[in-house]
Amino acid sequence: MVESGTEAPKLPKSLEGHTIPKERLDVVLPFVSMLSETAVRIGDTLPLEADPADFVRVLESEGE
Amino acid sequence: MDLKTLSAIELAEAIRTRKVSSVEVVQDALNRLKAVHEKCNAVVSTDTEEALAAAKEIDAAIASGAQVGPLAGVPLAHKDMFDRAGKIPSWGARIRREKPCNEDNPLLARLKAAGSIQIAALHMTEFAFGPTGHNYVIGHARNPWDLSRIPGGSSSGSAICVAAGVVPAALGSDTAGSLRLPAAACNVTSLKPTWSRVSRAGAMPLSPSLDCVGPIARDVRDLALIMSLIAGHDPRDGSSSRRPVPDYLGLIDQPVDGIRIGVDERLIGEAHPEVQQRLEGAMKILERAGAKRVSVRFQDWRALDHMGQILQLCEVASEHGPYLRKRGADYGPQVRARMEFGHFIPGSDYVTALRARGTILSRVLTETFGNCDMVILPTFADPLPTIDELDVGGGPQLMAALGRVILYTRPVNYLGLPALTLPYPRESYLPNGFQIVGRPFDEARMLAVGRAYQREVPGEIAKEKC
Repeated sequence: MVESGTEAPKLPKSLEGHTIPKERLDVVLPFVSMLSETAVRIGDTLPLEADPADFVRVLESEGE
Repeated sequence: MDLKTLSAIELAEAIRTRKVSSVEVVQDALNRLKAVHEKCNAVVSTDTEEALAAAKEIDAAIASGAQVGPLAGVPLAHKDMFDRAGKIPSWGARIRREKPCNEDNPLLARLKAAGSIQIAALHMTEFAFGPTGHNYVIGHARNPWDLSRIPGGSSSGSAICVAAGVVPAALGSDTAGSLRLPAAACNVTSLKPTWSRVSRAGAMPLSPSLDCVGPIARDVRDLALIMSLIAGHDPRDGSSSRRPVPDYLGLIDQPVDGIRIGVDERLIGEAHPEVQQRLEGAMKILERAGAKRVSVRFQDWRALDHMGQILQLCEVASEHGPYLRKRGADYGPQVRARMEFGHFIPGSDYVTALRARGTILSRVLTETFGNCDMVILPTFADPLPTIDELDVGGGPQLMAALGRVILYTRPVNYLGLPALTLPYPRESYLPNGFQIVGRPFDEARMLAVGRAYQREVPGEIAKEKC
């Protein structure tokens, strides 16, 4: 639940039973939005075939 | 013989040649541990009886002419996040596992097999989730050079005890700077290995995509010895690399002439002027040792930080979700507040951060490391703050304040690259340090650079306050 707020956004199911004061939520949401902007910008540059396994492949290819 | 100033290698030699007994060394370390803890809040639990019993066994083995390991009789102490048979690690928190561990963390087992003796489990930020040494559950740790200053975190106790001469070396972990920041704050060295170089099995997870375990020491040669012991594939950690482990100590005196060190002036320009000046001084020392300065540029450092944050916040949110929902009041205010963020990050952003990692690393290796061997960066962006200045709890300044502390460290975790922290020449300043960031699995060459640096700037003990 969200404390002492009106029309505050609903918390995700994963936080059910946890309490977030509205003033903290007012910090969390813009911050997450900022991270999301970067993720979208980076995502727009990725080829479709980009894969999480690329990371270990690049690390391990060093020096080969 | 001033035991507190000796490196692990020197202590092992003195014990092996019976210039001093392991019992004497361990007792001296235990005495010092108590004194340092009273001032710095560096210790969670002490293993007095077990340590002295182990020291007696080592002394007896040496007296009988038995072959002993390279750390025989040397006292060490580690961050309280590693499994130990029959014990429950605190994780710096109220929430802990319910039953004692069945077996030792494999790294502790390897150090024990080498003859080292663990004398204590050390202070850490709650769940290793904080870069300053503040801990609202077990109390804030204090810097042995200046008790009003932060010791850095999350491996706070490890850096404090090494800096104060309690032990010559200690293990810690690094998810966003947690080996490098305390090492810099306490004027000692640390090595965050390449991601996957050292097993994380039996170590408390924070963000598995970023977590690394590594050593803190005063002498780079001790980092090399410990890396030789702990690096390498571990069947208990499927992500650990199968690459052969170099003889880091054997390679530490390799020449560093001509090694190209990249300097990103624009990125360094975001640091406080005093930090920029001290970094320039350190670079000049490296040049005198034979390194060559080249200009480099990291493209979009801020994006690397954001990608790292997305991984860290989402993985922490997932791991701690069950506890946060049921035992939220058992968390300290800062960790509780930080754990909430990841629940609001879209799953697609998390997957993007994972998918982009290889592409971005490849680009950094080509563009930034294309004409250099390693890169020099500050560890802290600012002179060392006081504990009060950064006592932001879970308040609205939390992310901005901690983000500034981690400015130069977390992106390195996203890239998975190794980073060696070395202290600036202290002169009249407070302790602080810089990092040498290397290419994947280039730890041996980085340690050689560190060794060359320490010939001019040797490690020292924080003896003024402790």
